[in-house]
Amino acid sequence: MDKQNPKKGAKEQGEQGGYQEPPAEVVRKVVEEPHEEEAGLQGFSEPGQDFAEEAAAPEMDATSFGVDQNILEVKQQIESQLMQAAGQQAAGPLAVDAFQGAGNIVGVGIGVSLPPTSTPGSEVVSSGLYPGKQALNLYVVERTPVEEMKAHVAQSMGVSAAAADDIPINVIVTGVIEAQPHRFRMRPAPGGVSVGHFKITAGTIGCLSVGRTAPRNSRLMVLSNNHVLANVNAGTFGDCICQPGPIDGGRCPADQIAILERFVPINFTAGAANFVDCATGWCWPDRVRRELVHIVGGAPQFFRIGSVPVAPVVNMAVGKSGRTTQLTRGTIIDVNATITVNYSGRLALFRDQISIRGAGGTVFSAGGDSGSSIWTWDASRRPVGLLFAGGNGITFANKIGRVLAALDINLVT
Amino acid sequence: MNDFPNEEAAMPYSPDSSTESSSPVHHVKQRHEQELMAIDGVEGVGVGRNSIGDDAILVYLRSDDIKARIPRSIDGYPVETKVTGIIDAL
Repeated sequence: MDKQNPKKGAKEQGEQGGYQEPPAEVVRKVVEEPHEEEAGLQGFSEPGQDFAEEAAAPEMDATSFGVDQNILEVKQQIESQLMQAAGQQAAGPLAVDAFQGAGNIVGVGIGVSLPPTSTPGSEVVSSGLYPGKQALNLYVVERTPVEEMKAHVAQSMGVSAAAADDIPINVIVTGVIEAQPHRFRMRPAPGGVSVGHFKITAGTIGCLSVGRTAPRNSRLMVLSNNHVLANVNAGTFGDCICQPGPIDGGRCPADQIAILERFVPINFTAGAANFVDCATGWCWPDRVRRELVHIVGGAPQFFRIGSVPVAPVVNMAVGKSGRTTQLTRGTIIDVNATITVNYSGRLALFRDQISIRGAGGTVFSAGGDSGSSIWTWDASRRPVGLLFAGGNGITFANKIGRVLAALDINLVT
Repeated sequence: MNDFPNEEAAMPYSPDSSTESSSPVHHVKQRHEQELMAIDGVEGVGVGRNSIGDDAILVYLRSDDIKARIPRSIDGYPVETKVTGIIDAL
């Protein structure tokens, strides 16, 4: 779409019309400033030297590795067919016959012949195989005889070489391979997906919000943590916020959805009390949506939460949708926790926090879920908290009422 | 549109801490919070329920062995311990 031109697009928006776009001057400043060192990603080696050496070495070449040229060609042809099909599927819902014939194939690779029951949970139907011989791996949704798969590949996909007897094929039943859409770029971006200031790794979009007073009451804003949108106090107004977050491949300005608008500084002074870790990013209205997302059968489904906060109580059932652990359910076990929180070695004291245990021994959150909105697990899904920290299966969240007061915002859900 | 390119993003929040809950168990927690937090390995103190549903003081611990240094009850309220390890920003 119009990634390079942030000025276009929002005005005619129906549902989210009436909001003002982020200021052009600030945007220009951000666009002209490519990200310098990425503080949040230190410790990772640059792609380059190490790989360059290997790539230059002749024995790393696929053919001299001994990959059968016929198998390689068939694999590449099927691969390009799959990529085309994926592009078409993304445009709409799956048809009922989506997994029939060649549509049954969800992946392709090169391996060695597998004994019939070598992979737990999968069934392998091989042809022309002996132990150690190279084979084409076809990953399929439903179990299908190998000769039938060969016919589908040859006819529907037009890869006639696949029908040859000297192409050994493993048919491996994987079912639908569930992607992790919470980490991908989505437009418009819903709550529950990866987001981040350009210098961090990634956190989660909690939901949308709007300022309570002018001029902020005409700004549509994403709500998340200070340590997600404002790089732990280091950010300044106008900084680029991208979706997905940088560790998930998001880049500025190509993937920008917002600019840093406001944050509550975290006070690391010994004895100082913090109540919230929160920030807002001023959005282009056409790049975000008010719903949250979760995955049903591999496809994203959108749902809404309430906008009027409710006070947490012990034993309240709650849910969240987040970048890493996606949709989870839990129970509030504490409504007035005072805790010490570790921000990459710096400690901050937080008071009046909620703590949550995952339902039935499950994990409620993990790194990257920071910023998720937490809501009551019932039909009203009223907002309760803003997820920001955790340890050993216990998750901590700010009270949403404090978050809204501190940022002077209301939720737009 | 161009009125706020240099707007200040940092906005401190300093609420009145008396807005915190004020039931008896919360008073007990608040009174003993500092001394509990001063114990090395205590990562947090809160208010919840024990295994049979009574109001309880919760104490979050860095590791299981610190449990021995935590009182079983405080001012008549049971104490529940939870091992969180170091609590990290996620």
